[in-house]
Amino acid sequence: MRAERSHRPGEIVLGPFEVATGVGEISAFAAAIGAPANPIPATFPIAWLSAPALKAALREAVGPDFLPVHESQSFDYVRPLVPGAALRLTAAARRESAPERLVVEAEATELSGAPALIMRAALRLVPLAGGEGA
Amino acid sequence: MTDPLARGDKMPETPVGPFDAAAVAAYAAASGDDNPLHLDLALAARVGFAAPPVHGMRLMAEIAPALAAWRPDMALKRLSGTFVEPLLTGEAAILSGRVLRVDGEALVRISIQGPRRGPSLLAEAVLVPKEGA
Repeated sequence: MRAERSHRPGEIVLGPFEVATGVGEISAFAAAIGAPANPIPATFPIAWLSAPALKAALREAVGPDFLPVHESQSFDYVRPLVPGAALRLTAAARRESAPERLVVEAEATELSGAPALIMRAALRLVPLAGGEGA
Repeated sequence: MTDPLARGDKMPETPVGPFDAAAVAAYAAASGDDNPLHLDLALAARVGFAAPPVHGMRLMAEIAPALAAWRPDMALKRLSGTFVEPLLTGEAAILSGRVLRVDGEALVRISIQGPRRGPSLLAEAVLVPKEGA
């Protein structure tokens, strides 16, 4: 489930994936940040980037010789997030160099295609001397 | 607290952390971000940290509840931030914020400042009045 099509040069497009909006996931996240589960924590959608299929593809895009370090993050809330909402996430990831970076832009849409949330993550890629196996 | 936000308004300062290894592990599990940098002492040391840094997103997670406590009449439209300096496991920080601009929306600059010279998180939030507020 990765790299279905090329978008811009060097960019991979991932998804759409269905994302978790269940009360269980939201409550677990809220408990871990010591916040109420209602309203849905504003940063909860970051967990969608760690869904297994997406995480594996992003890890591959980072490669074994780099350690990703979260550099910046944004969320644009187009519609209120509602528990149990059926949302799909499409992400585009591109590598930048000098410095090495992976930029992930993701959009969550309702089944109608209407946007619900846009997020952008920039990961600085710190070289691991000799790679992971060193 | 029904006065409209005005330029220069300040959020109450709020303590953030310290986070211990168990809190960092709990965040890793709930968010799915199990980057070993936050969990593995040896790896953190290899990258030059005295202790594993707390997830930047764990710090960013403090902002929306602080904004909601300060201005329950406002809704969050956009939240963005840059993780400038690490906040290491065991270190405490302070969240503060100030309104930079109001033009229908309010732009709030927020910082989470730990013991280093630069902030651990420098963020901006765009707030809009809640419907009916």
